Amino acid sequence: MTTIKKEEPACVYRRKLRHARLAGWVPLVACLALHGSPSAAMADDGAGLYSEAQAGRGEALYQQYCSACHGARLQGNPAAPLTGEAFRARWEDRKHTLDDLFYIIRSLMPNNAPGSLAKAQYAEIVAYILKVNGYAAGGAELVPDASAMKAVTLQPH
Amino acid sequence: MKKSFVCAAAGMLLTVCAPVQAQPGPTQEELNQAGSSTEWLLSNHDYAGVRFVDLKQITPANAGSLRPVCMFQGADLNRALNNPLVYRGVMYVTTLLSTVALDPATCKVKWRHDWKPKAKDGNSSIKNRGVAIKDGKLVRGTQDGYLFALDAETGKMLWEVKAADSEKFEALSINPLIYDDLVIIGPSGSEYGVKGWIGAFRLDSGQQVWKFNTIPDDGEPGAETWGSADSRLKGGGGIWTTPSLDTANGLIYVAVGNPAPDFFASQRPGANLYTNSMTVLDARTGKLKWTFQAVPHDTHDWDLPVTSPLFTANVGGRKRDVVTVGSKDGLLRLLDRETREVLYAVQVTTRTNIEVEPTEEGVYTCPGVAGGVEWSAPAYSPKLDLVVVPTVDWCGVFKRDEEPRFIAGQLFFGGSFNWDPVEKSRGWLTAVKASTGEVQWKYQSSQPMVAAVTATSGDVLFTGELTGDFLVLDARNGNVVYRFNGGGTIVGGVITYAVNRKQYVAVVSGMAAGFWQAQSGSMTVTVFALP
Repeated sequence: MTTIKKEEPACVYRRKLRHARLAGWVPLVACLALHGSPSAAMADDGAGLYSEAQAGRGEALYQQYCSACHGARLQGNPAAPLTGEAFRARWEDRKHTLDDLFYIIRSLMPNNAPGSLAKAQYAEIVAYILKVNGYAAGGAELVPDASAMKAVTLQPH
Repeated sequence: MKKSFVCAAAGMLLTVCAPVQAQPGPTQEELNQAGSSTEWLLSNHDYAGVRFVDLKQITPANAGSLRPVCMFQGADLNRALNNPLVYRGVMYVTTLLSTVALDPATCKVKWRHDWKPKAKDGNSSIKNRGVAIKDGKLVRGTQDGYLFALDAETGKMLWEVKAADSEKFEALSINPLIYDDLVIIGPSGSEYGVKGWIGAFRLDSGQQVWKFNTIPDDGEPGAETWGSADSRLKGGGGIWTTPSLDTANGLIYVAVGNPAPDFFASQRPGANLYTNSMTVLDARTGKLKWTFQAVPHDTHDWDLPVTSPLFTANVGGRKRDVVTVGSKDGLLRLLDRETREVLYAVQVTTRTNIEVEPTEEGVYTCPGVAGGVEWSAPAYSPKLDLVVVPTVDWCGVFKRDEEPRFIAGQLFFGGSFNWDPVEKSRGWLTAVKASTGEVQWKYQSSQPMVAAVTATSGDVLFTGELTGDFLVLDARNGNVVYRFNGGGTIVGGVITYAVNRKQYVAVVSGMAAGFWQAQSGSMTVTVFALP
């Protein structure tokens, strides 16, 4: 798991990772953690975890497969909320990686047919959930790759 | 507090009557006699969980003229699993966060208490099943692991304790069981990787008295049935339903939930005690008396949720004290409480590939992950010698993962379940002749049946369906004699009681967990009566 040391500014850290597949979006989370709001990070960085187009496809999939239980606005009921305080408490606690979220969704959802979508589609749904929760979009798509996603720790932003 | 009058003869012509405050109740004696009460004092009506009320105004002949007389709107969109109580003319209901006292004949609210959560929810299975009452105190648990007592008269907080650890995914959802000065409760959350327990807490303070580990610690009996200490740390064994109690011997019959990870078992070789077991404990000490495991080494999430009714009947040619055991494996068993033998096991839903463990490719199996017999216990009519049980009939494909993966706060399945299309699901209400185990009749529902069932001396049964239909059936043959759709699914309490000698039926409706694909509504209590 990638961890960011306080004395090592995120943007310096980003340069170190330039060669990695993650370059562009691991440091974004680092920037969010160190500098505050995602919009500030966006202005500084110009990169995000996913692309707008990907989140758009994810929204369509979400409304088709997820909204009946999680709500049209991810507000939950009867299933768990995927935004707001409940999402922050359950996922953005510095103990969960982006791959944890991806794993739960791809292995257990949709509840009546777990694992029935393509991995790329699950990644699109995750992109949409990130968008609704205030994560910034960027130029590159979120790649459904476990080792890459494990490097991203979800945390308050 | 309800007033009563004491009268004293003061001289030859004058009788003096003065109002006095009645003792807060119910007393232990009233609770011991709850089986003959025409109110509803415990979650399953009485300690033995017989769910039979000696009220006969509503009959198969007149049930067609039932009508709703009032509705209480809980304004809550969480799962409507509440089992209401009725005592001294007051009904006590709960939503996820609220506890409400209301008039059981008019639905007029007397008081409402709102819990403000102090910790994060133990797990995502968000629910509350209700309160317990004794000596003027109402006691309930919370999703964030608290246990608290309210003054039943006013709704004022008496005490609160952090009884369970929501950081370990424990949530307190069941109606507690109160016996003497003890409040007995344990956390749900098997499939979130809890390490289960059930404990007793003082009724006057909430202080813990004893604790029994449903997943043993190192060195405790049963620990050897897990293969390794690691496998016990998140072994499951949650408590989803209120134990039944044999008052003659002071024994509680605890229904212990499934092992985790649910579908992946190679890391927990052995029987995995005390999961899926009826575990009989001394109510005063928590000491283990005996245990019966319905599904050893479970790989299908086939909890054992039902350990009632307890009753006495002629079975196999002699009079026996028996306990009914309902399991998500699709069998209804009757056990002799003395000899501990299984007298019979009745198949109450479809059973296919029962013994086959899930593979990575998947195995089509019945029952599915939802059972079988779910959380609502059968009703027993001693008059008709019938045990009536609601069941789920919904198959699907169990798959196991390559490796189980624990993610804090999330389902720890170690695999997945692929449900048959909802159109292929159904439910049953099955009436079994208690003395022989023969099926007397079956009612088929278009969806699984998980709501409570109540029997009466009027030979009717009250229950509900996922569709939102409240049902009255003729207990003698299973014919539906009244049906009313209230718009919200029925998965919780259905009770009957008398107020001023008039019989009422109260039905809880609202939401169910999403996977049931049920009719959704806001939590509502609808009260029915004859004109």
